[in-house]
This record gives sequence, C-alpha cells and structure tokens, in this order.
Amino acid sequence: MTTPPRDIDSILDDVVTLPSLPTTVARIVELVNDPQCSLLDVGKVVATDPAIALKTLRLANSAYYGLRQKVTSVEQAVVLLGLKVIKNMVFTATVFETLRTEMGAFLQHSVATGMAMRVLAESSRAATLSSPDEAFVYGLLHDVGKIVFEQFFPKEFKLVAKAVQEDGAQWYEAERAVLGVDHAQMGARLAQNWKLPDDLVHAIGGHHDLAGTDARYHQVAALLSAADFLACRCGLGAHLPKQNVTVSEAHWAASGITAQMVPQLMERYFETIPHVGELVAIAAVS
Amino acid sequence: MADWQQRGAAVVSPVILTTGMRATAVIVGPRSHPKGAAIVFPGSAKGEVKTVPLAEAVVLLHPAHAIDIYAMQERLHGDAGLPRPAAPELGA
Repeated sequence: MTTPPRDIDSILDDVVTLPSLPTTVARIVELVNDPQCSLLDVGKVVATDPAIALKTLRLANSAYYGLRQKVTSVEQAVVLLGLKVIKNMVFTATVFETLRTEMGAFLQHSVATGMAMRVLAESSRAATLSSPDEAFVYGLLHDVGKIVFEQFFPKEFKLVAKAVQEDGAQWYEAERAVLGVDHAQMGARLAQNWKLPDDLVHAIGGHHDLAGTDARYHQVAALLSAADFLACRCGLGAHLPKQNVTVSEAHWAASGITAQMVPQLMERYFETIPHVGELVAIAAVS
Repeated sequence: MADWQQRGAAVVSPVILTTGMRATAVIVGPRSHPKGAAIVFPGSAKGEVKTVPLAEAVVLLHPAHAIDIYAMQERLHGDAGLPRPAAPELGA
C-alpha cells in the first residue's frame, strides 16, 4: 500500500479532467424532460453525433429490442421506440462508446449486470424504476467509478487487484484501503456531476454499502448489488475468476429477493445471455 | 460463497440451510433434469441421508446460495453460453 488513504474530494481535485457527460446525452436528457420537445427534435440531436447515432441504430436493430422492421434512420428509431426508450438507448450507446477502449471483461460485466438488473427489476417491480430499459442502464453504469480509478490511478488500481487476489478482500474494501474511497462512491459522485437522476446516483453509491444512502433508494441499490452478484456468479465478473463478491444481508433484505423467486429469475436471466454477447459486439464496433 | 469441488461425475459444495443445518449441494446434470441438482442433508434417523431436488429444496436456502447453485449448474451443463468454471473456481 504505497498511497495513504485519501478522501473523495482530494481525489476529485487530482482528476482535473473528470470525464464529462457527452453533449449529445446531456441535450437528450434536457429534451426528454422538456414537455415542449418533439420526437423530431430528439432525432436531430442524436443524428449530430455520428458515433452515437451509429450505435443507436445498431441497438435499435438488435434482437435485444426485437423490432419487426429494419430501422434505417435515427428519426425512425425515435418514432418507433418513443422518447424514454430512446433516452436510455442513447445513454447506452454513449456508455458503449466510452467503454469501447476499456477492458473487455469490464464491458462484458457491465452489460451482464445491466441484463441482470433488468430481470430483477421486472420481478421486484421496484418503485423507483420506470422501465426495464432504465434498469439496464443502472447495471451498465454501476461500476463507472472503476473507469476513473483505472484511468487516473493505474498504479493504485493494480494494487487493488493484487490485494483482492492475495488477501481475498472484496474489491471495494481494497479500494478503500488503497485509495480511501471505493468505486461506488466515486461512481455516484461522477453521476452527480453528470446531473443524472438522484435514484441512479444513490443506487450506484449504495450498491456495496447502504450506509449513507437515503432509505428511499435502498431497494434499487440492493437490487443493483444483487444484479452484480448474479452476473459474477454466472462467470461474467469484471476481474478475477474467484473474486470474493458478496451481497450484505442488509442488501438482501432491502432487495425483496427471496429464495423462492430464484429459479424463475435464473431462468429469465439465462434467456438474456445471448443478448450480452450481441450488445458487447455492438459496443466494440467503432 | 460456495466452495465447489469436482467429485467424480458430480460437482459439490457445502451449504448451510436457513435452519442452520449443514448440507451439501450436488450438481450432476442440467436444469431440464429434475434431479440435475439436489441438496443432500442428514435425515431424522441416525445415519439417514435425505436427497431433495434443488427445485423443492430451494425454499431452505439463502437466495445467495440458490443463485450460486443455479449459476454453477448452468455453467456446467446448460446451453445459455456461460463460461465454464475452471480452477480456482472449481477445485479438484
């Protein structure tokens, strides 16, 4: 451990170029929240960013969305899918564009957790989640803080991996020991800087530790923790093959998931696995 | 977390039931087979061993253990395309 533990603000001060929310997504979020905006306005904004527009089209034509007709323009995708779906789709496309050059297993884990979150949210009917697509985005972004660590603190990131491998520590605990903060706290701060919805900020921040998370967001944070666990136990973790991934009893209790629900949840999750590969392939295309 | 070991054709792990009783999760085949996975635990008579299919015994498990067993069964015998476990996840 070469770096003394630090607080999140001093780390953020060092990260002078904290990743910013791409303009396209920021504008889409603004438009979707504007009652005066039209579908055409949204289509035009998406079309201004070729990389995001391309990935949005690929997503719209994927088996994951299951549209019967081929979508050939962003405007058509917006009309067919509606504003909320498009918002989440553009968000997904943007995250994919950002993660494209990152670790392959990390991207796969993010997508696999998104799929798991979708399945868990559908079963639990979490009050704060408005749609399965939104749940997918939660899973996709749950470890976004790790990108910051990997990008800006590569030496410490390797120390974390070493501590997990040698001592069997949980990843987030090793981050706290090495860096003074964990990726959930960092991810929540990043999401806050991006002005993402409060429930997403709190879900990311509480997915390993509910302390400090407002009780209103405990269920969604707990579901995110369980989705992370589910993906890891299915061999779709981000890092080490036998990483000690656990979910706290507080998270299980808040999630509302019972053992009786598990057989059906697993059945539905296994059905989504082909989509993980499909979405990772879309994300990898430049 | 479960500690999976290969035992002949079976893959097994100790598991603690919600009653506190120690048991063993045994995986021998796919989910489509009713006895593809089971929980084995001591019966009421001395030396007696009960084997209950996973689908019936799941109510006796913590959700984390249930997820772990279903996930390992699918990775070993399923067709969802999950990565097969290797050491150190699956000990010999």
